[in-house]
Amino acid sequence: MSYLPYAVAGWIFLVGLYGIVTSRNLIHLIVCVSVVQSSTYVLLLTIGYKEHGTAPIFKDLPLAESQRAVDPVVQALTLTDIVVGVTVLALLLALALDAHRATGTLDPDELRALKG
Amino acid sequence: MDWLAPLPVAVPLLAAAALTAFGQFAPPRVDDLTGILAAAASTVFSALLLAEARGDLVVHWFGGWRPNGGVALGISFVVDELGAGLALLAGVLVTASLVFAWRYFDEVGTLFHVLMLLFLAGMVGFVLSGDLFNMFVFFEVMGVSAYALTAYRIEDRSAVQGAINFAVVNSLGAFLLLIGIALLYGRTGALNLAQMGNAVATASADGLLVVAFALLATGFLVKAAAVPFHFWLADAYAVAPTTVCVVFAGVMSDLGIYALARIYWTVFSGPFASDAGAVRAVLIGAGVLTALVGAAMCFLQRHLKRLLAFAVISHLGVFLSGVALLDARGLAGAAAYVGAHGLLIGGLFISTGMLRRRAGSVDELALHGRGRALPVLRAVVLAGVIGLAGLPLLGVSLGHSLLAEGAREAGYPWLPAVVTLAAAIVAGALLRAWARVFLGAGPRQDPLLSPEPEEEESVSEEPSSLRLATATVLVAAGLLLPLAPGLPGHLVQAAERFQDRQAYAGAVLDGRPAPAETAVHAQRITLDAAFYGLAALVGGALIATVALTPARRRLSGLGRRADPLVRGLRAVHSGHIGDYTAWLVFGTAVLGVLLSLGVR
Repeated sequence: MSYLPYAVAGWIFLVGLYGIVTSRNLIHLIVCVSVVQSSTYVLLLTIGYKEHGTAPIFKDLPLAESQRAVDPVVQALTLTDIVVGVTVLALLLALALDAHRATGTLDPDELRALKG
Repeated sequence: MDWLAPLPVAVPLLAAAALTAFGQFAPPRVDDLTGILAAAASTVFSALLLAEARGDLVVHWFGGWRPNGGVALGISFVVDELGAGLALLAGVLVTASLVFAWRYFDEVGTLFHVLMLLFLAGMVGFVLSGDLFNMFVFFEVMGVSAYALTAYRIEDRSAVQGAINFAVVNSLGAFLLLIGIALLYGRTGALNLAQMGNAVATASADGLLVVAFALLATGFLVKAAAVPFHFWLADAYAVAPTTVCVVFAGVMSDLGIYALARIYWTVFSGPFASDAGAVRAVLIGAGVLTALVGAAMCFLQRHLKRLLAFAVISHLGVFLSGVALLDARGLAGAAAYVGAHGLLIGGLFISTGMLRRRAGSVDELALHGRGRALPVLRAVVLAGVIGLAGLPLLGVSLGHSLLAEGAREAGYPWLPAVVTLAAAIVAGALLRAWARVFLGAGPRQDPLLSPEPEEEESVSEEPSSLRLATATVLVAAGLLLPLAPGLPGHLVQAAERFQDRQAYAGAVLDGRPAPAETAVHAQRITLDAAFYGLAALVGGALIATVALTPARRRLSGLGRRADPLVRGLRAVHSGHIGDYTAWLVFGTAVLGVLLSLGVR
């Protein structure tokens, strides 16, 4: 098993975080949140992956074949994760729209009413 | 009676769906009534579950997919007493805040109730779930509805900022949680907590387990607002509608600490058994830091909701310290704290909302003396503040007593003194605000306090006896909670059961009944705990007096020396989401490094 997918997941995670920390635009920032989340998809799928595995449809497979199927649980988790991600993304984008409507800016530096 | 377990989640979910579909066609006030009834029904079911869980864990397998040979195929709710107690607290607070919100949001009413019910379902599902991935899903359900509720007054620019900070930081916490879950699943091949615990029970604490624990702990500590993950909380609480703050402050963040305890005792207590001391030291460090930073920031605020928010952060630090003792009495103490604190702080937030309605502001300085005309509210707020400080026998004093005993047993005899110091500073800030608003004491200007944007609202003269009654009931319940007969002994017993990994795994996977009933310990509030409570109260009164009278000028030398610290603390709470994210990364790294150094 190669370590490359884990490295990719870690890299996506860190790149997204870097984007959030340095972002000057809320839309960009929110997309970066979504990038961070993508790393969890990669990680989940990697954990359930099997070299030369088949799709986890067990009905027509002989037993020996079915043991080489990839793990369906993590795929279900990834789907759930995507649904959750879309919800958060939609809500955040709606908030960013409202922020723009209320203040005319998308720069987090200029939105700072709360501090101290 | 395990069919009872899904009901406190299902009822508010179904009611929310029905309200979304038909709410706009319904006659007015139907949304209020549906919301209150559904929340009250959920509360009743949680209370029944709590009674049911007294004897043994209540385990419900959805769709009847029971475990086979120690392998969980289905998804379960596993109800223990502490979890059911938290579900009950959540139900009570949501019901109370919906009563408070009666006719509060006339413009876009229905959606508010839908969100509150979803929020309730998410919180209750989170504490009842016996499956780690489902905990993540419920974590997100309650998160998403909480973000939306925070931004409910969307025309307010700080509301949008607070909600975005809240949503981004908590989402990142959730992703860390999910990575931890994925690593743990890769190791154990299970998502059920009991099965995971069995899979690693005899393993030694290797790198993967430590990293997974650090990630899960970070995810939950973000929700629990431990320093340095706490920044979002003050921003969110300051802008959320008061009715929502009641639930946020009273129970939402406590759930993170409950979840941390739950995964530690069901999964990690086996492999970490020989290194428990290191885990204890790291988590107590985080708890103490949170309690002190929260208290200091609380003292610097003039925006009353932000002041209360930092008080909540300080208290969360205390709960975390109690849980982190990894001792039954510490956990029982945290549970007693959470119960009393949730009710009291809920009452205080409702009182703040009433101040905003009746006196037109939540700014301590602007409200100077304006509360004189509200004698009942004055008494209610004072009672709440005294209960939060831990006047002996009342309020949080039981939590303090149990925590002090647990600290002594675990070898941290200095912990109660630190907790008392934090409690005294918080009490000082609250008493100062109370005296300034309701007695008109002290100067009208105070350079020490954080500057706040002026926001004045129109004063409404409408009668608010229902709201006042809600606040009074919550504060009275919080004050009198420790007097419930036999409560301390039951709490300790519940905590002992909570920490018994093998009994949990046996009950969940094999349906094994709980070990024979052990005798309930006689547990009383000890004398030294009474002393701590008094010390917090007297110290708070002293601090408030110094803050409000000319005596502070004599102490100005001290003030100048503390000035860099104060300025540093303020600068750190910058309100900038990028900074918060950097702190989150930093905190995660520190937690991971400390744990991997300590656990070998």
